Amino acid sequence: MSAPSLISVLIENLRGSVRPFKLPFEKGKKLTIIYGENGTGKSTVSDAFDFLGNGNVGSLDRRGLGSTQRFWPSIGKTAGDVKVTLETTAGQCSVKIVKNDVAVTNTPLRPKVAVLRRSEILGLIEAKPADRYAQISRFVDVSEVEASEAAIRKLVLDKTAEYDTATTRVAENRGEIERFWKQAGSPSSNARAWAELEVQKDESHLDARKAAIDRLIAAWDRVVAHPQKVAGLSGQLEAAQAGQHEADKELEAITASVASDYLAVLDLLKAAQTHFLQHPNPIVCPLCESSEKVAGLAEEVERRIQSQGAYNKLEAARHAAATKATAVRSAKQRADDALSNAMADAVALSNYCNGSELPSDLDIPALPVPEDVTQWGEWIIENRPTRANWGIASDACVADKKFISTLRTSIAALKENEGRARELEALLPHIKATAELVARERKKFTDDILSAISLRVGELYEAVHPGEGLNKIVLALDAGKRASLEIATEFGGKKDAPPQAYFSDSHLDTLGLCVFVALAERDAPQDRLLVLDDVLGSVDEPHVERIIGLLYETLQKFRHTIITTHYRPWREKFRWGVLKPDQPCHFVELGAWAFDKGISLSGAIIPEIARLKILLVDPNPDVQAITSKAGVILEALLDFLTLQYGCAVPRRQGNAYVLSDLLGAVNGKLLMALKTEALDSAAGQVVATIQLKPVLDELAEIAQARNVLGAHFNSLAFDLYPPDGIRFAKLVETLSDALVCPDHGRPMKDTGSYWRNGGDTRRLHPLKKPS
Amino acid sequence: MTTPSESLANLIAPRLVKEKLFLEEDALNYTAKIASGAMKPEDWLLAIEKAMNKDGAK
Repeated sequence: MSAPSLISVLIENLRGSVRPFKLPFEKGKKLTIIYGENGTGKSTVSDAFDFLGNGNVGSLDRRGLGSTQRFWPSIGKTAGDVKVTLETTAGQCSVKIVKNDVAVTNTPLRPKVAVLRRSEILGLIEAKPADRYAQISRFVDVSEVEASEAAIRKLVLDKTAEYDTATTRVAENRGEIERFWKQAGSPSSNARAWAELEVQKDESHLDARKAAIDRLIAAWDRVVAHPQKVAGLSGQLEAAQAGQHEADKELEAITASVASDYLAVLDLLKAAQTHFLQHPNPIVCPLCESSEKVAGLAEEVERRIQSQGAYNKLEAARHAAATKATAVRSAKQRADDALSNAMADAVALSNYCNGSELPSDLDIPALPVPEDVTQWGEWIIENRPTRANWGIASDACVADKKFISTLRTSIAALKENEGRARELEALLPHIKATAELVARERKKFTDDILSAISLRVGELYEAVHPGEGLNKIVLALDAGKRASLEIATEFGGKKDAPPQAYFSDSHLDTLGLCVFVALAERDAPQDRLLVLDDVLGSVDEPHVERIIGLLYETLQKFRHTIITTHYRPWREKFRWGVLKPDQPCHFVELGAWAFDKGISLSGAIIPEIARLKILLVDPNPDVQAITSKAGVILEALLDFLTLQYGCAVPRRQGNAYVLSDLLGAVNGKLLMALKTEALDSAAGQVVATIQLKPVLDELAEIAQARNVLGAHFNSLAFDLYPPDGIRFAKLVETLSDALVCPDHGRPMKDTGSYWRNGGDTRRLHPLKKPS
Repeated sequence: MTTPSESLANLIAPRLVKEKLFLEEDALNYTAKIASGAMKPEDWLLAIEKAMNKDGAK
């Protein structure tokens, strides 16, 4: 859907608009040229559009004012009074300042606006590369894709590192297996094949061998422990026997030292003593049952037991002898048991050594084990080296298992790392290809855009400076810097020359304008209002018309273009139909600015032919004014024709040709051949063909009417009929209508076959003067 | 309006598919991620491995 057309813009209290200023736009015309002398308010109009679209008043920037918002209101007004209203075919949109912020009503209708001012024209050319990039970044800034690209580059680095690690580990694993293989005596054809076989072997035989050896060691160790134990227990028995002998001797000695009758009755007396302890007051003798001498009987028994003083010693000796005898029996039992156990273990060892469980390669001790345990010590010493070998053999089993386990781990690690390396080997080319593709596309994308912009800038520049060879403009990102844009050209055969160093100010201005237009063209121009504020400032005369022509051609693609200018020839040439745009154009002129009225329109600039037509429709025509106006228009038309075909005219100082000079110059074959075609621009069809000879011949016949009626006061005029002047003017009108389109002007473009105007609404034949 | 990154991502995605580095269905899914800068190494890896697996399975 196309953007709505502009109807008007109303500027209130913004800078020079001390009174509300309304600029109406002509229907159907997307190009508005605002002509005004300096100080008429052109920049205020540009600022109004800047404010409308961008919330800024850019003409005050770079003037050392700091924050410029306080200068936006007109003198005597406040920021709250500033308001710009755009009326379009879809409705109104207003922008104003509310609490230092820009407030927009009807935001969907707020236009996108690009403004280029005279003061900014060199902005992109003279900017630092980084600032230059900032201005162009909206077309080439692919930082988001660059972030994604950084991720794929990181993936490449990570996976490359993983691959390097995997291959390094593969080499390490292979080296390890090689070492194992050499340790094993380099069996089989190669280390890998050997290792593969080794790790598949059954390890249970190692467990069985170790268990058998460990059991042999245990049996041996049990036997080895016996001699010392048996010897110890034998010693204990001997000691017990000696103690018993001593106790027996002590008892015998005590027994021999007391009276024999004492020992005979001692047991009887001890029985009586026990009885009297239970019956302390007997009435008869418990033995003879006599009551005689019963008094004091218990005391008499006690006295007789203690009578010889040996009673306690005898009892102690007897007890010691009994205890020692018990100890001897116990010691003997233990010695017998130990001996028995030793013999049993010796038998067990012999049986185990002679059994089938032991590995055949294992040495066994000299058998049988001596029957006398006291001889075992020597036997043990003799066989101790054999026992030591069993430990080594047992440890070897453990080492063998550990070796296989390590080998298995190495093989597994090798396979895993080989697998990982293979995976990465397959993956890496895809990742690298992806990273390269993204980088290539990104570079191509930005290069293509910059190349297209450069090419377009060159095209535009060549249109203004044809044949100067300065159109090889290059915009290129600096590969060594981020967000840095270089601008270069070819100058005098020198490539990569910075234009700032070699171009004149005027050429730089043109280049700046071309860069701005080339960039603006790329930025959805159909939705954008383009404002060019007095950008022709330093352009020299020969190039101005080309720039104007360039602007006419290139600005049609924008939603609407407003050009302000103080270049007076533009205004005049427009009046005469010389500088007409390819598209219908609205040309307005600003009047002098004053405090009491602010900005004002002095009225539309009316082409001279339009003024003549106005005079002609007057019911009471002013013949003098009509013939005068018609004469000037005819001179302009003949000036155009004679220049276009290089017709011969009398040479005079200042090229001051008169009407008769010009009329006479268009003659001969050219006069015969001259014709124009009027076209319906919409249909592209010729709607009228006009031979110019009849018109010019008739004009030649009555040309004197112009001088007589319209140029001077003279009495001859009294003899002429006013209708001659009217007839002269109507012929001029016919000639003008044939040659000049009100919207697109004169046919001045060389098609190769004929001349045409910008809108191809008028064609002029022939292309060249017939010889 | 399409950003430069979006335009570029729209160019890159079909090229990845054409070079069999991405599956077509993944390219559609990942285009926005590439354009927004949200593509992580693991996203790239997943997409590439899927394309490799499918290509290898053929």
